[in-house]
Amino acid sequence: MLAALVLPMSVQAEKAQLELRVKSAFIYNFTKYITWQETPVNAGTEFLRICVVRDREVFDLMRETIAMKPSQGRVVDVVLLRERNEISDCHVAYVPEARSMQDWRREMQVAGLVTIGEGSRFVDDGGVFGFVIVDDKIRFEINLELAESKGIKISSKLLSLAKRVVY
Amino acid sequence: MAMRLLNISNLPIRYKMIVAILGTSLFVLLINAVVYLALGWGTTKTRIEHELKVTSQIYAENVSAALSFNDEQAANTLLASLKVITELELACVYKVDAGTQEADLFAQYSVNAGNSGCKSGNLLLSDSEMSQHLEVISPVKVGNDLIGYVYFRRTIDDLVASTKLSATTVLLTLLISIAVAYSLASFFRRLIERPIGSLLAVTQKLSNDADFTTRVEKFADDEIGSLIDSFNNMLAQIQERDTQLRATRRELELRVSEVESSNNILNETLVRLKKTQEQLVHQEKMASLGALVAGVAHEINTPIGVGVTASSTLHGATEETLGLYENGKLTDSGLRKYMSTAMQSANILLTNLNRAANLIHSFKQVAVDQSSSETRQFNLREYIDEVLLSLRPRIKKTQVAVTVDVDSSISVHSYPGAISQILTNLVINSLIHAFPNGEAGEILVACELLENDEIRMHYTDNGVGMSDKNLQKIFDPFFTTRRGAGGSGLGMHIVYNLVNQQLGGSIAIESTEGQGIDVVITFPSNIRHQRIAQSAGVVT
Repeated sequence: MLAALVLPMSVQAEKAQLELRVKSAFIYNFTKYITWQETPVNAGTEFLRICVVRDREVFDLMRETIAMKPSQGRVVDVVLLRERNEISDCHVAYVPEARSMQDWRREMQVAGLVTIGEGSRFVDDGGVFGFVIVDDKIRFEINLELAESKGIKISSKLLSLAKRVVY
Repeated sequence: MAMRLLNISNLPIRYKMIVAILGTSLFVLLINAVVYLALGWGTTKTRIEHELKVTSQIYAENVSAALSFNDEQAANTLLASLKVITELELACVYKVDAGTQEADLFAQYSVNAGNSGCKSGNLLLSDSEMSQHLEVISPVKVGNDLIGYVYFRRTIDDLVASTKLSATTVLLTLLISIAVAYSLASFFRRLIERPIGSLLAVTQKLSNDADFTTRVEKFADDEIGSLIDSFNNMLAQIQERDTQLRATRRELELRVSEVESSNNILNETLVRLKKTQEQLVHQEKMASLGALVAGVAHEINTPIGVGVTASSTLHGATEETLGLYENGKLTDSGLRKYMSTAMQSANILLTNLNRAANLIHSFKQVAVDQSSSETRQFNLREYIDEVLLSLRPRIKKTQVAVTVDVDSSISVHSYPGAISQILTNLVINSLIHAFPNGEAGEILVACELLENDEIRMHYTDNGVGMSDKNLQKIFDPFFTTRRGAGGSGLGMHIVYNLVNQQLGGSIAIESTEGQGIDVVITFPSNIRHQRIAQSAGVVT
């Protein structure tokens, strides 16, 4: 609907931006239904770090949308991730569509890190959440097995909304 | 209301009891039923409200993720699962816009498919308590963020139905209870009604027949039993009193008849007594007349005796002188001596015969007066002297001196016989009673003419007097202190009657024992004037 109102020149850009905003909101909402196992890394911090892997554009938009919002007693902090070793501070790592996780695979497997990516393949390939588009709507899939192995608890409410749960 | 109560108070006891028991039972049961139903309604309503609230809260919890992720389908799927709650009519999910804070309808469920009852816009609960629905709104929160509302509306048909069922059960119980209460009341009613009924029957029978031998049958040892006991006891007392009363009445009747016969006898006796009294009074008069005659005979005896002596002396002298004459021996001196003797004898005869004639005259007057009841004019002093003269033979036997102090100028027109009898009786009484043993004494008869033409006579003696007790009875007929000694007890009674009736006067006696007696008799000097005055007094 909104897409129809904007100019044809920027229709694609607008749509992409809107999609990203919704996804940002989804990611923010995910944090409300996820319980992290306390680890030395994330314990004691007042920030809930959402890290965007190497995509400045997405980082900017996401920061604009959800940064400094409260979640489970913490404040959302959106971080742009450039180097692999920076990943240990993150609660959530979002891998935008344009990026591949292949070269960061090892870092992504660290316990307590919620990995969110695009498509069913991301979930199958070792991601926790994967966004899918169904009927023009953004939905998501969950790899519960992986989440459990990483010490992440996902609320059943969230599971009930998932398009597909891998177990 | 007051009329109705009045009607109840006039009902027979058996209906009163039934009304009381049934009324009480019904009232209590109704209160119980109402409380039970109200309590049932209230608790059930609270319970289903709570259930609805909890259900809505659970649902709000469950739908929070769907709202968060804007997943209408998931929300609707969740809503569809509410189908199992059959009473749920309507469920609406509203999403609160994070920016504007406005609530928009997000998903809904209605038991009537397609009929949307969900209002859009601001959510408000219906405020009607009498509503046929229960409504509840629960907020949907994620963390502390309000992201939406859940609105549930539930029918209370089940509550109404269960309450109706309860009411029906209660009503049935009520009817059964009333039936049981009625039969119990009827049973207890007999317990009370039977003794009261029998008591009532006996009292009615009693008031009709007054048969106090009847007794009420006792049924139990309760208050009514005590009442019947008391009643029977009362009956026994009444019966006893009745018997006593009858006996007393019989006795009384007997006594009355006895008294009547005694009265008759008494009356007869009284009549006889009065006759006897009259006879006695007459005899007394005769007796005093006899005494008079004796007195007369005694008084006349002396001059007659002197006359006899003188005449016999004359007779002897005459015979002696006659013998001398015939022998021729009569001397002159002898004749002279005879003549002197004859003259002397004739003188003595004349004197004594004159005296006898005088005596007889005066006695005749007194005797006539005493035996007749005529009034006449007479000199009071002379008459009293004459009466006393006739009493002289009796007085002379005693040492009593009689003094008369009456002015000789007083003339009286009255009944001299009455005065004579009065004086005679008083003197004789004094001689007998005042000086019983021949003591020396004085009697004084004094009369004076009062200014109102009445005579007041004082008769006093200085004898033994008399006691107050006897003084009070002195005028009673047959009262005497000397019944055995020949007193008739009529003397003073006759005096009283003569003074009061014949003389038209009054009599008073004063006396102290040992100090004599003072009789005061007052009577009019002229009985005719008195009579005229009396009749005039009667006329005026």
